[in-house]
Amino acid sequence: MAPIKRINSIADVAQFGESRAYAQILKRIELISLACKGVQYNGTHSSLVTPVLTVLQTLSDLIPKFPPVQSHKRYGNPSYKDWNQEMTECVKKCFFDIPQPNPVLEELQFYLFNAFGSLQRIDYGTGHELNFLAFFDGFLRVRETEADGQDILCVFFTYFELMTTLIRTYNLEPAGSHGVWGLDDHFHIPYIIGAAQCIGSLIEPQDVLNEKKVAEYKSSNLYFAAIAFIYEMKRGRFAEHSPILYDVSSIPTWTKIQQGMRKMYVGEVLTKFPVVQHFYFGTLFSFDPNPEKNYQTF
Amino acid sequence: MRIGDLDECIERVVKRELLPEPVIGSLCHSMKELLVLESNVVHIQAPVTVVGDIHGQFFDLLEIFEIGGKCPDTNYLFLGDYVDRGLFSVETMSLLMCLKLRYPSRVHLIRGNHESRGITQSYGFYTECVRKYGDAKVWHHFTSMFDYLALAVVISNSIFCVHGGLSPSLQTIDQIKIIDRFREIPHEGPMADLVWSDPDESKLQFNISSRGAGYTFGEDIVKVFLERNKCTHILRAHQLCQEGYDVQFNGLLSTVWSAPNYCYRCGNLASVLEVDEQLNRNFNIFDTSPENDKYIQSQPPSAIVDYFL
Repeated sequence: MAPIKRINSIADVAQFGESRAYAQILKRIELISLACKGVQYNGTHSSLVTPVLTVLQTLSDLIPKFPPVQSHKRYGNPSYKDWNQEMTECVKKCFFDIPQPNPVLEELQFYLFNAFGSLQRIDYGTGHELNFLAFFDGFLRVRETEADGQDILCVFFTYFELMTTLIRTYNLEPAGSHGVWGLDDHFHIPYIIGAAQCIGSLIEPQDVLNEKKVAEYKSSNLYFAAIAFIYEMKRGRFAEHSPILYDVSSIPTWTKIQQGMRKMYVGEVLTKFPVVQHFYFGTLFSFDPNPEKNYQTF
Repeated sequence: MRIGDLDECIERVVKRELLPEPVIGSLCHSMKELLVLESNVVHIQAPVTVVGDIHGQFFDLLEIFEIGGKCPDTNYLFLGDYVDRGLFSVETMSLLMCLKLRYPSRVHLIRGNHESRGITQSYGFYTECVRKYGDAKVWHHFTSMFDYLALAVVISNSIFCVHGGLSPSLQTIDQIKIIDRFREIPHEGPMADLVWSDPDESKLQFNISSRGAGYTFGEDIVKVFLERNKCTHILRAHQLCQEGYDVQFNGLLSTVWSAPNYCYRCGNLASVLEVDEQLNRNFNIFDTSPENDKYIQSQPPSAIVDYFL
């Protein structure tokens, strides 16, 4: 059965905070943070994540089939809708190498459908990113295994590259952006993983202000991949268009930054009604109360 | 407040000086006294220049007065979404408020979905107020004033102007006039729909909006609304347009967007819509002013968030 909507009011967000789903999301963030700590991405991966990478590659290969139309009025390019429909068809055929029949397959597919932006609104934001996290978490749990840092980095780098290509190609609007008062127009998870990667490395927090260093680290570190995308997309001074990231660059340690990014994810994504109202629940992510008390902060 | 004081406030805000908190409080109080007398639907006469979403892009607002004409030489109607996302929502709102008080019959402001306590706590204006003033007092002044903003304007009995769009609960303009508007924008109902809804050329009737608030409405809805209310056109803002504007439903509805290069990255153009005495509509299109850079000399306010402490 496909997941269903359970968050319809602000009060439901509090209930979400006490649910099994919420505990599972926090646990996954904890696990990927630990696994990626001090690990730089080297382009390799194990066969565990091959089914995920294959589908991301297939979806990426679809983009040239739907070139952006030249004359259009809205910001988002309508060709994105064609890509999105084809993506849905594609994902429906994916089994992710899970022995069939398996009732959670439909749930996994559902989270993946919703991981690449909104068909109606032609936008992309942290709510969609959360769906990808849910998909990847479900995939690992169905396989009853854990991924190592290199595998996690490979999956999230591939997903990040697909998303930035979609954003560039079809002008996906920042969904619910806080503008200069937010961390980033579209993403949050690359900062959580990337900051974990930086812990214990030679990379300094203020290196984000040095475009040469950003270019150097962007293919092995997700934090810097996200910063490089901002430099590519935005005009103006960094301190002005990205004041939060600018201020974060003055924090002395990556441990502090990583903790802050996780706290901020709870505060700005998981507990915000406009974002989580679009997150749906089923068996993988259950809205039932978690018998153990959930930790609200890190 | 005296005219001389208002002129001084305008001069200071244009130089990007922050007005002291008690002054903001007093300006908001005067605004409420003025706005409480306005109907939910204000009737005005052309010519008028109509401005869409600004979202705290203060230097682009100053650019609008360069290309569209100064107040009060040009009449202005602002369609809401003055705050959130940009760096200068406080300055933007301070200036618009002073202009409304100084030239009340030449400047009209209506309410957008961001002129709300709930939305501004998520999308930047609250944070900006606290950063610039040290506490949330001015945010309280501003947001309690927002409750008094009108919901719609009709230009020369012909062009219906609103921030978002139409509502399944509202068939006539008279029905809008009886809404109790002096409150926070509710999550649903006619008042929410006016500030949240969007047109959709691909679907007839009203449909659920993917925004989670308001509805989408089709061409049939627009035609019936215009006919029933003896209007010729709907003018609204609320949606980013690559060219700064969009005309839909065979010319029956226009969207005007006035924040160029939205959020420093969208690369979009912006426009203001000039409506002349004969009700001809002309979109005056503009891009971000390169002049912007020269104003920005001071450090932006520190945005370090509590999460990292």
